[in-house]
Amino acid sequence: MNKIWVIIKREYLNIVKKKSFLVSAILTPILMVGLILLPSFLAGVALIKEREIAVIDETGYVLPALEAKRTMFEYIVKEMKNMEENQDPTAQEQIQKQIEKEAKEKGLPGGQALKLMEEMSKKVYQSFAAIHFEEIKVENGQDLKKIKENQLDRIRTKKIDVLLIIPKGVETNNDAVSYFSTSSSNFDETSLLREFISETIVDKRIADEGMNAVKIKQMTQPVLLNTNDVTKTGTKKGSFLVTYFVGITFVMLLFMAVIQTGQHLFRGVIEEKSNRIIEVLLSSIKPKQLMGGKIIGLGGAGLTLVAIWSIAGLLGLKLSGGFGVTIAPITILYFIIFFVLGYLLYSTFMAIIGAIMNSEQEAQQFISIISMALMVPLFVAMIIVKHPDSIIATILTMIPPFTPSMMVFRLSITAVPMVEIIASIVVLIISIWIMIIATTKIFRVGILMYGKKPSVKEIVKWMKYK
Amino acid sequence: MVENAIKIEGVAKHFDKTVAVKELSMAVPAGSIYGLLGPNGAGKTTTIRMMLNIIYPDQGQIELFGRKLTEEDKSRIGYLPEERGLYPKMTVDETLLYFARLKGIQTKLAKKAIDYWLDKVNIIEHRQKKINELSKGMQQKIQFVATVQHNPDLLILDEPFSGLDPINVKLIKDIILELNSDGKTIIFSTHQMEQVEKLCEYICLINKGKKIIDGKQTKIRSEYGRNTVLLEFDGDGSFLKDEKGIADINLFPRQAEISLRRETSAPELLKNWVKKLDITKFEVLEPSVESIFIRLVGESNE
Repeated sequence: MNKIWVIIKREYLNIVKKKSFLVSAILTPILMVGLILLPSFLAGVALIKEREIAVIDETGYVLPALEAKRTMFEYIVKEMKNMEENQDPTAQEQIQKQIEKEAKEKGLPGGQALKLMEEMSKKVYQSFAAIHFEEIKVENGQDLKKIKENQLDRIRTKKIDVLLIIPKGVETNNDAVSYFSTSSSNFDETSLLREFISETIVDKRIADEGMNAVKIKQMTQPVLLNTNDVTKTGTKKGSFLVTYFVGITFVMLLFMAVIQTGQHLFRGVIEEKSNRIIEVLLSSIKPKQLMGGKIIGLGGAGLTLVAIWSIAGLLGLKLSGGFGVTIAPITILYFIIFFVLGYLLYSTFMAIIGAIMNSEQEAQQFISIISMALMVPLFVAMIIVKHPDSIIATILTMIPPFTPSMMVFRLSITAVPMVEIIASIVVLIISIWIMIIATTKIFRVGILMYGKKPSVKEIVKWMKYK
Repeated sequence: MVENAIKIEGVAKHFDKTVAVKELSMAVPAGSIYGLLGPNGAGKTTTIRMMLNIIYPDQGQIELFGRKLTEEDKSRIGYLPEERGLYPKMTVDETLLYFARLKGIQTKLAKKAIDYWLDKVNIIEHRQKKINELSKGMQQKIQFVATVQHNPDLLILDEPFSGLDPINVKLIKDIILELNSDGKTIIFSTHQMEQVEKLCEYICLINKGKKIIDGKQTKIRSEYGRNTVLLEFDGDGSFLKDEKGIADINLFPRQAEISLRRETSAPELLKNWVKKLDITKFEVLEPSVESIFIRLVGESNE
């Protein structure tokens, strides 16, 4: 028993003391956080360009409505800036109230300004506020085509950015509004314009029927649907995307830990084999002790790595406000159980590969097969997220190589029946036990075979050795 | 005190279709230096691995210290493999401590032993270096220390002198003799016959997995003895190869070691040779281990 500890300690420290371990422990979370934050950071620094939009408004009332929206946006942006500079909470509150009041005065229903602020990112505001609308008047008898051509030329010479034509029939015939620009794929701008123009037109139609547009808007307000997951102790707010990503994250953690430390396992065995350390070791200890010590020591290193990442991840979640992610303690417990069992199962595969193969290159191809098995839940993730308790999910969970990652994935997205959890733990323990017996036998014979790759028949024969 | 440190009876081992060892029996008396000899591929390493229980024999019995090898008994063995078995990235100190701990030695005692042995083999100033920063000879000395540091009763040394200069060969040889006079049993597998002649009390010669001869070195040599002639000369000695009364010859430009046939008379030959060569030395002696080795292996291959 004492000797196995000596091996565990060496294998553990051998990995943990490596510079590459430190790098991967620190750099991986930084990289991941960086990748998550980079897009919003980039969006934040994106330049807000002033836009010149020429508008041919045949209706006569759409453009003033757009202009009113724009002024309101300008106002909100200004107030938001004020709010940011005034960190004093009472001042902020006052400004918020003021925004609401002024928005009301400008003919917006109460609270809409604030709601807008919540819904849209700052960038969208700023860019809409930075638009300058120029009205192009079409006098009676003037040729619309010619005017249009003139304006298009102005776009080509970069005098203006956009030409917007709002036809008379937009209200009655549903005629399309036309948008001309060198790049019509300015998604934020076109979608805002479309939304505001339709709002204006719809309001006009309602008003023409003699009804109150604001009232109708309030009456037709769609109902919100909050999805909630019922957990053991209570309920939590559910969000499809969040549960999906929590599940994927857990699987990825398991995958990275197994691959990272598993590689050390078969690399270590191949190294010991190729320079005959194995003979010295086996003159002191049993193959079982050597293999057990390696698996536990490296598993400890893997667990350390995952623990560091998890703590970094949880801290990051806390600091960034959580993204609505909540992880129940019981899920973490299950994760640890399935990580440990999964790791044990996969490391027996790794040890066998190390014992059979003579070089890393040879071993690598088998590693990809193992990676595939671990990744199975990701391939079927979409199906399983939709039906986490389906027959397919249950069957896949009970196939040992898929069990750890399937279970980890399902546990993080749904409440798996207790029977299934226990069954899968039993399945794992049995298969680990069988694998350890097989591995020790293959290990014992395989580690002393040099130079030639054994056939499957030979490997089967090794397992029959007493 | 058990009479034999190792006793092997009727042991056989085959890998697939190749037979590595067949029906091998031998006994290594406790406290002796025992030479295990044989050409490449004779089955020496397989035999040693079976002694250490690294691989199991297909049949037969192996006893160490009078019983089947137990895990506790493994700490009474020191094994030096033919090729280096050290972690290249570990320091000398780490390596030795690790191997000592695996033999069940407490850290404190192990450190003391390491200090003692590193000083003894003149490597103490390199103790913080990584193994792959050391020369081959130094690595060999580290491997040797790893073999003896836990004070084992039985040493199994596979080519212990490889990669060592004459000074270090003497250093290690003296240590081996010292250990032996302390009562340790030493099994020696090597191709360096002069070392075997000087060191080994007993020898065992195997070829193709079979024992050819074993016993006390002096006894074996006298059995094959007094029909060997050591000849030193000036002139062209190439005709000696075709002499009829000769069983075997090991010919050098100015020297020849000749095994005579049983019926051949040495003085008769000398009369003949004096006419053809300027003979500076003619001595009838016991055969060297090397000549016995070459002769017996040659015969068993026929």
